[in-house]
Order: sequence, then structure tokens, then C-alpha cells
Amino acid sequence: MKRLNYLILLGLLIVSCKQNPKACLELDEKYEVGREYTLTSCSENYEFITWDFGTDQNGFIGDEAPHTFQDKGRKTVTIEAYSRGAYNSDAVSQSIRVANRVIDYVDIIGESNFNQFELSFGTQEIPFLVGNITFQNSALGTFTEEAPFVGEVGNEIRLQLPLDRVSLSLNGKRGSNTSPLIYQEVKNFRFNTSNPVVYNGTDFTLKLYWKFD
Amino acid sequence: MKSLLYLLLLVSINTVAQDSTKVRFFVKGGEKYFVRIDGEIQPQTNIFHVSQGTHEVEIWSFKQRTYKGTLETGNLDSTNFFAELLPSPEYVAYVRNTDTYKRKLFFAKTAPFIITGVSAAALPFVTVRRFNKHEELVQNQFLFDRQQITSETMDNTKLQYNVVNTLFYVSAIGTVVGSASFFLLRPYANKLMPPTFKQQNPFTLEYMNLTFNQQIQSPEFGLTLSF
Repeated sequence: MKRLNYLILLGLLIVSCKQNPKACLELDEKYEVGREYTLTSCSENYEFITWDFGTDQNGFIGDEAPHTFQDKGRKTVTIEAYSRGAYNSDAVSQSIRVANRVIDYVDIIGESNFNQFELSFGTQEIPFLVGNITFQNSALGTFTEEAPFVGEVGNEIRLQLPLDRVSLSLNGKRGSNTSPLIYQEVKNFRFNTSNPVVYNGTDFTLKLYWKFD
Repeated sequence: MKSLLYLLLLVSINTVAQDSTKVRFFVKGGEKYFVRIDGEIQPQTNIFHVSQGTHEVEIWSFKQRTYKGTLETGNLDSTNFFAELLPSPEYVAYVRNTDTYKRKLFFAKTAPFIITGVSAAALPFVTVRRFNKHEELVQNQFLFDRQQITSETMDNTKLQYNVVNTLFYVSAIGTVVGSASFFLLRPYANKLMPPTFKQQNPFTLEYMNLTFNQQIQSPEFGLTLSF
């Protein structure tokens, strides 16, 4: 009988030592539409995690969830961490915003004898990305890092940063003459997430600031 | 002279033939039997030479009733004697009691032991399998709710889990019930006494006994010699 009591005590000890899963999610606030992300969790004491991305798309089971958000909007990502055998679980949700990256404004640095700068973004091959902005303020002068020429891109224009190939060019305009200052075929914005994105021409530097919209 | 010799030989042969009869015993029902003819115990054989006439025959074999019969040889030189031994009522009762004892022993000791052993041995494996299957069930339910797997896959997963779950409960209940029965029935099982069968050889007055050995689960034969 004494031995049986010890066995029961040992069993209770083992059961009490077993820790419950703790779900934890620390996602960024904003995610870009179309970009492939690998979402990670900070959960503990779990056997596996289920991921619900707050869309009608597929869920995922695993420690890290590769996912691409296809639509704009606010999404609620929910993870549920399960214990061994999946008899205990803990769930946590986080609201995130899925949006596109659009050009906010540009800084142009260089010695300019032009009246206007013109920024072309995109080609006809990617029609939804076509953009051509002529900054109306005077572009004449010396623009430094500290005092660059700031080209505002209006909210109504919404030049979206693509995830695929796009061409970008900066031209200087004086009267009817147009001089190319920077031409760059941006191979991939997919892996370029710095803000600003910097492009260097021969005598000019373009800093492209973007925002989520 | 020669003809006189032939006559003497013929007369002597006839005299022997008329005096004794060779009897072959055919006894059914006993492996090793003892024969007593006219109160005299005979050697362990099945061929006897007896004088012609009527003889009282007694045959006994362990576990059988003593056979008593009469042997009529007539004028035959040789004859056969057929006898069938019948089991003694005490031995029949012993066999019946042994069956009852074995059955009681099985239900009181062997069956709980086997149930506990098999269930306890299976329980860890079934528990691990149940854990795995439940994880699979939860995961597949998650995927099924998002239309990532077919209903056939989901049904199959549920079926597999139900089978393992049933096995788990059967093993768990078997372990508990089996071990509880084993301990609860142990006093009763210990009180069970194996039946014994003891019989005296009426010819040699030896005692032979038969009992049931619980360890080897088979009858045990004993012999008590009387000097």
C-alpha cells in the first residue's frame, strides 16, 4: 500500500511538471501585398503550431509559416500552440495591416542647372506601375545631403513599388530639353526593403522614400 | 522299438496339451494393468498359462475399477480373454473436480494476470500512438476546415483515431480491472486446493495418487510403497 502511494505521488509529480503550451506572436504591424514572408512565433512548450492568416486562404502547420498576403486590408493572424498529443492548446491573435508600398517622396542630391526634375517609374510592360511625375518647383541650384531637392509625390498619384522588374529614371528638364540623370533598371524590389532606396547616377543621387498605403 | 518311441512322444504331447491353456489377455481401458488369477498375482505380461478349467480373473489398473470375471478355458490349447476396465467413480469425480479447479484458478489468477500483463504491456505503445493520432486528427481537422484536405482523408483520420482511442481505453481499463481483480481475488485463489485422487492397488497394496501441479499446470503422479 505504501509503495502504491509512492507510485501515485510520482505520477502526480510527472503530471504537474508537464508544462502547458504558451502561444506568443510578435508580428510586424504592416505587411506588403504579394511579398513572401516567413512568419515566426515566440511560442513556448509546444509540439506544433497552427497558423490562420485571417483570410480564406490556406492555413499552415509548423513552427515558421511561409505566407504571401494577396489582399490589402486589416487581417487577424491567429496561431494556436498545441501540446504533445494536442490535448492542450493556447491561442493568440494579432491584428496586422496588409498594404502596398507606394512612393512617398524623393530626395535629389546634386548640382542642378535644370528647371524641373522628372521621375519616370515603370514601363508599358507593367502598365499598373506606369508613372511619370514632373516636380514643378524649381530644380535649379545645389542640393546636398542636408538640403536635398524634395520631390513630393501626391497621395492621388500612388506610385506602387512593384515586386518585379521595373525601370526607374530621373531626368532634368530645361525648357524643351530633357537630360537623363539617372537610369536604372531595378531588377527586384522584392528583396529591397530599405527605406529610402538609394540610386546613384553620374552626378546625381536619388533617394526614394516609400510608405505603406 | 521305433514305433514305441513315437507312441510315447505322442502320449506325452497329448498329456501337456490337456493340462494347460495359453491365454492371451486383451484388456481395454488401462495402460498398465495387474492381473490376478485365482487369487495369485501374475507377472506383468499379457500371456498366461493356466490349467484347463474355470478360473477367477481379477484385473486392476490405476484409475480403473477392479475387473472381476471368469475364465473358461475348456479343452483349448490357447485362447483369448477380453476384458474392459471402467474408470473408477472416484477418478471420474477427480477429473470433474480438476476441471472445476482449473477453471476457477484460471478466472481467479491466470486470467487477471494475463489481462493485466497484456494491457500493461500494450498501454505505453497505445498511449504514444493515441498521442500521435490525436495530433494528426487536430491537424487534419484544421486543414479540412480550410478545405486543404478531402473529406475522405478526414474520415480516415477520424476512424484511425477512434480505433487507437478504443484500444487505449481497453488497455487502460484492462490494466486497472486486471490488476484489481488479481489482488482482490488472490486470497480466494490461494484458498483453492487442487483435487487429489488416491487409489490403492488391491493386489500389491501400494497407494498411487494423482494431484494437479499448479506450477506446471499438469497432473502429478505419486506412488506410496507399502513394505
